[in-house]
Amino acid sequence: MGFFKQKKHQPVQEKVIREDKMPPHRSTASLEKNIQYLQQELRNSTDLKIRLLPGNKQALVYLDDITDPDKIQRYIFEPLLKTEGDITKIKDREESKDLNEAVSSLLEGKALYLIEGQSTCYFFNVQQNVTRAITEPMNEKVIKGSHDGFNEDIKQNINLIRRRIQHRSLTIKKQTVGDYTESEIALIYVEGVVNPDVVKELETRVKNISNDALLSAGAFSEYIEDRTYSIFPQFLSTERPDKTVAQLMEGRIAILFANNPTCLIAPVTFFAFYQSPDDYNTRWLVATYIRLIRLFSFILAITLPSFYIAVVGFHFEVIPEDLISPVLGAIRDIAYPPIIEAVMMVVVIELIRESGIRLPSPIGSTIGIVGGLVIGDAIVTAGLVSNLMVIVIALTSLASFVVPSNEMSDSLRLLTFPLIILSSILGFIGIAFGLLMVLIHLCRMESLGLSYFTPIQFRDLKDTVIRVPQFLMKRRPEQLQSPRPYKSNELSDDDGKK
Amino acid sequence: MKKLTIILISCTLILSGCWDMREFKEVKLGITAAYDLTDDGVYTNTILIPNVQNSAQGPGQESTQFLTATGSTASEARTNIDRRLSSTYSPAQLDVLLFGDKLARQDIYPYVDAYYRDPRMHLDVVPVVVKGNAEQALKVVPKSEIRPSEYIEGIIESEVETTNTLETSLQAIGSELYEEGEDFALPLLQVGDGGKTVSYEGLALFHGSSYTGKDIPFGHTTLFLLMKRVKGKVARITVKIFDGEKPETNNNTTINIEDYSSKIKTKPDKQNKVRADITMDVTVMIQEYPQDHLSLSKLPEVKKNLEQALTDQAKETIRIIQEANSDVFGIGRSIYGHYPDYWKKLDWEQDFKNIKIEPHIRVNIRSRGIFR
Repeated sequence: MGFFKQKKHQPVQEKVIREDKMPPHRSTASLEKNIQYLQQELRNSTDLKIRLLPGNKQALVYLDDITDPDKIQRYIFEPLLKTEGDITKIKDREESKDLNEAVSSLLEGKALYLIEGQSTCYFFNVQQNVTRAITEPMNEKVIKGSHDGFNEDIKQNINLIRRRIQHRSLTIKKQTVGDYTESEIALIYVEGVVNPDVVKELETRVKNISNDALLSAGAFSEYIEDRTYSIFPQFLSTERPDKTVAQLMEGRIAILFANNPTCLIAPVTFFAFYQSPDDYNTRWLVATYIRLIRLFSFILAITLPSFYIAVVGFHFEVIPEDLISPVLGAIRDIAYPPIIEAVMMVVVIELIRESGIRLPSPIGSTIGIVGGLVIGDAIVTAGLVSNLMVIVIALTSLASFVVPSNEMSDSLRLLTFPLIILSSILGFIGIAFGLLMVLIHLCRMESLGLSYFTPIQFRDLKDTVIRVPQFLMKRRPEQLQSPRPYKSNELSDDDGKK
Repeated sequence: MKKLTIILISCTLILSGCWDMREFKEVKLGITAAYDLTDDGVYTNTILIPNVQNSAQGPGQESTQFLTATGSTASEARTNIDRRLSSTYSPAQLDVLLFGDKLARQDIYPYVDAYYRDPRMHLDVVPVVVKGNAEQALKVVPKSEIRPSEYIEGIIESEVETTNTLETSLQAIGSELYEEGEDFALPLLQVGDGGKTVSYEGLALFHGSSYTGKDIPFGHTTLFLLMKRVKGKVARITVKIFDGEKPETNNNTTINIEDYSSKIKTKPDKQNKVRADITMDVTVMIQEYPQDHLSLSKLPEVKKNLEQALTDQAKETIRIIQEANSDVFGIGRSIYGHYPDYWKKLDWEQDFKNIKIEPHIRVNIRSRGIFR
């Protein structure tokens, strides 16, 4: 099939060296030369401030926008006055004779103190911290339970986790990714609970990322996930520290990002996307009931429209006799075949949803009402879509929004389309084929080398399909092959008996 | 190569599929159908099609459409119906199938054969025999009904609940149509009130696949069904237990069957070839007793008379069945099962009329009413 191939030509480009891998550049004794080098390396950027101190023998260099003037006053000038200008007597300082290191330090928000006639540079940490307050994540609200959430500051995020797991085995491994951005990421796991092979696997994958910029958690997951072409998410993303900690204690790995409130959790199973911290805060019977509803909604979300199309288009024998005349009355005068109706209605719902997200919240709700009520009513009266189809599609999208995880909900809504098409071509057989393919795909998927659709065996049902009381959940999930399979020091059998 | 394969596979999927599409809105569904045989030997087929007015708000108004066509065979009559319809006629949702008694006396199998062959058809169609003209019964549409198309079905369903007819369908009679050792009975309807209503008249007894012309009358059906071990939600029997009381109504009592057990024992017999004993124990509640002096001392007499009256009724029913040569109790099947060698010597077609069927009914009165 040479027809489809295009000629490849390799463009030439310079290699970018990461800041922390720059070869050293020795500083000189001349203040002017040093300053000149810094200015040149930072491309004469205007926010580079050079303050010559009285006598022009000493200079303080810093990037204006990322440093805190208060801190400069407190950590540099005030101590300088006390020691009568002797910089070597100030305690909180770092030294170096490498000007390239000086440049990296400036970029981190440190101030550089240079003295004429000395080749040693002194650094002071005067970084300005811009953080958002800790608030509950908008998209993962719970009724009961802790209401804090991650924010953009990775230090604060790690703080939130450390406060919840006060044990020395909580391991935090920081790395940077992206040659330009040098984004900091932190792999967090509980040593002794996590499967070491999985950690090794994840570390290799992270090491192999080569990119100029790492912008988001979603992009990151695409670099390291097992199947990029799959429709299903393979990392659980959350902004909730309580959820993260619960997953850490199951033996999973959390990945935190600097400047990003999203935390990725791997390896996961399909059912992890259907669990919510709410489940563990309510009575177990209630939680089980809600879990079952969520799983039912999974089936509903992907099959309901296709089921309806198959019934109306192929197998009207299955309509119960009491429903014949209502159904017939509803669809009699509709001009389009059911598949067009369904696609039309799905698109309408997506439009309402998407416009509702982008608009500010007071207008967003108005759009919901206008879209939902007015269009929904008018489209039926106009005879474009039958009122049964409106019910079907509305139920479908409701069912897809029940999923606690946002990505899974999006995947589900996308998954309805192939099934709609298949059912409009082959009826029930088409749905059977479609579901079979989805199931085969799910069974073949892996998350960090561990199976994604873990065999549904009885022991794992306890915290997936249903939720049993805590004392019955003695083991960690089988999927993770944790070196510490039991959740407590006292070994007991599955029934909670010792 | 991979791309070409994908394109070819999706082509086979897309190009082959829509062919089988049968859209619901483009089909006329028959709910009830009637088959008749006129005096000239012409078959008529009448169907009832519910039509719904467009309903953007709430359920639509239902109206019914009747179509009658004639033909020299049953399928020709059906083809003639299709010619007059704006969209394709589909009997896939048929609920009730009416046979005129004239046609039923011949053979009903040719009319139901298609239901056993086509997987799209309902097998829970209720076959019903109509005394007289079936088309006439179909066209009775009382104004009081919300869904006129379900009038006849409703009659049958309510009679099933009160143990006056059995829950039957093409599926249920499927094996009995041709089996020698067992026959079946179908509900019998009749147009009354000068063509304004349809009433339930009893059970039409079949032999093989044709109507024998003999029926179990309405008053006898409950006891018959209990002997056959079929009970709906309630079962009530009104019997005459006294003679000569004044006024006339005082002779009768109505009992409500609360519990029953019924057993049919069959065995070869020298005298009558086969002997069948129907043993039935019923626990009853006296529901209506116009004499109103039901003291404990009177109870044994009531009980005795009740047993006598029920046994008489059962004997009468059995006489009709044997006259009709319709083995609705499945006695032949039971003999065939237990004494296969003996069965080979019998000529069931002739012998059934002469076998001995003996009912033994015991009554236990549990309650005489809440004031007593």
